[in-house]
Amino acid sequence: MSLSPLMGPRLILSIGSLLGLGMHDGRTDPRPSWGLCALIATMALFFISMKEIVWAFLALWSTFAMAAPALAHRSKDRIVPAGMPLLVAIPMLLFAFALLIGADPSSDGAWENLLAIIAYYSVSFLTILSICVGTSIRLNWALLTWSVISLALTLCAIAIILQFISDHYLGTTYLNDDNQVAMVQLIWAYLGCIGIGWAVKRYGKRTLSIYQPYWKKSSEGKA
Amino acid sequence: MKREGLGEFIAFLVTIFFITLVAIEAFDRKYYYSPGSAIACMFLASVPIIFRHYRLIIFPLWMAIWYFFLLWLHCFGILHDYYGRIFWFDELTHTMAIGLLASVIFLLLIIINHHSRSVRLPPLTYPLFIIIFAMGLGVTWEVLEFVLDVTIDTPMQYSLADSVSDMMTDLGGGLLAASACLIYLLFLDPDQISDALQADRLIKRFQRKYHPGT
Repeated sequence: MSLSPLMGPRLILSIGSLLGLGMHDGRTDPRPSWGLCALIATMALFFISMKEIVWAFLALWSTFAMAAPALAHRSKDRIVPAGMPLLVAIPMLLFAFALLIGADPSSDGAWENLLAIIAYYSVSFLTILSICVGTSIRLNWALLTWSVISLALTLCAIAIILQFISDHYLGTTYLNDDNQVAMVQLIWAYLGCIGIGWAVKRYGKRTLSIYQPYWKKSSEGKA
Repeated sequence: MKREGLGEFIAFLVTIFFITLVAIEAFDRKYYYSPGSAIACMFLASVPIIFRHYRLIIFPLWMAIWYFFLLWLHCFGILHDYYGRIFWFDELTHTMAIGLLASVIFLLLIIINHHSRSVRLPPLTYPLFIIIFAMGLGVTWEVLEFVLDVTIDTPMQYSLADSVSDMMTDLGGGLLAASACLIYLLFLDPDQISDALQADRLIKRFQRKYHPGT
């Protein structure tokens, strides 16, 4: 595929149409969102069976983040629009596919970390959006961007802690007691999430404005 | 308020005195990492004083004293190698530092919530934002430590267990501070807290730079 100058806008447009999934006239259809929630929960089980602790953690976190507003309000309609869990599911599906075709992921490999930072960022965005759906919170772009980046870094730190605990108590070899392996993951997440956050704020505002009623709440009751 | 300012200034002078003692002792022992750290801490100690002087933001006295004590404790710990000899010393300073940062984040969130028309944070969401921003800063510190260790060969990260325990402490410290802030909110009105910080000048500067015309 040639890299034409139109590729960027096309990519953003296609992501925009993905994000609009399950949204009609400003209303959210909860059915595709619940379907994707079930898919992500199933992937969590798959990752657990494959002993991929980081991905299992991210999938379980996403499932909980999606279900929390609905559980808190006892209403199945209180769920993020389907486009967001779809973005979360894409890196997970890619990683699951790589596992199925026999790839052997390493903790400090490039493609593994690249997929992981996309997953950290999208899971964080999903979590913040879920908070916006479940509470009366109102955010501006700056606070939203920094919240998502900070949450992504928090998720990466928790993932490293989980790998370390698993290595110590379950005899796995995710980090091999090597500080550098953990720090490489952290630096990937650090630079990657700040980079994605900057790019989203710079170029993705218009595309993501589809979700703006959730965090802006300029017209109460719309979202 | 004047009495608080005087108290903060006295605490600042006491801190500078004790940190100077640490620096002198370190020079005597020809241990040059410690005086460098002490000089950096002296500059850092002046931050609340500068903020108060220019009336950018006035931190509560307890927070300033906590900050000064932490800076001294860090210098003292480096000089006597407590970080290497006492296994819980690093955890202690990390927990205290992240607790302090979390408190500053809490105050900043209150200011933003009070002054920005585009942000509304319900009280129950404060702990969440405090934890994630505190962890974000904790991770930044770990990355910085690693980069300094690799580039200028500083002895900041001893092992994987040390880095992981730092991150666990950051998470624990953030959780503790977030719980404390929630209790704090039960007894004090956020608007009162925001008024006591006197951050109007800081906000005006911020608005002039990022939202001119508002």
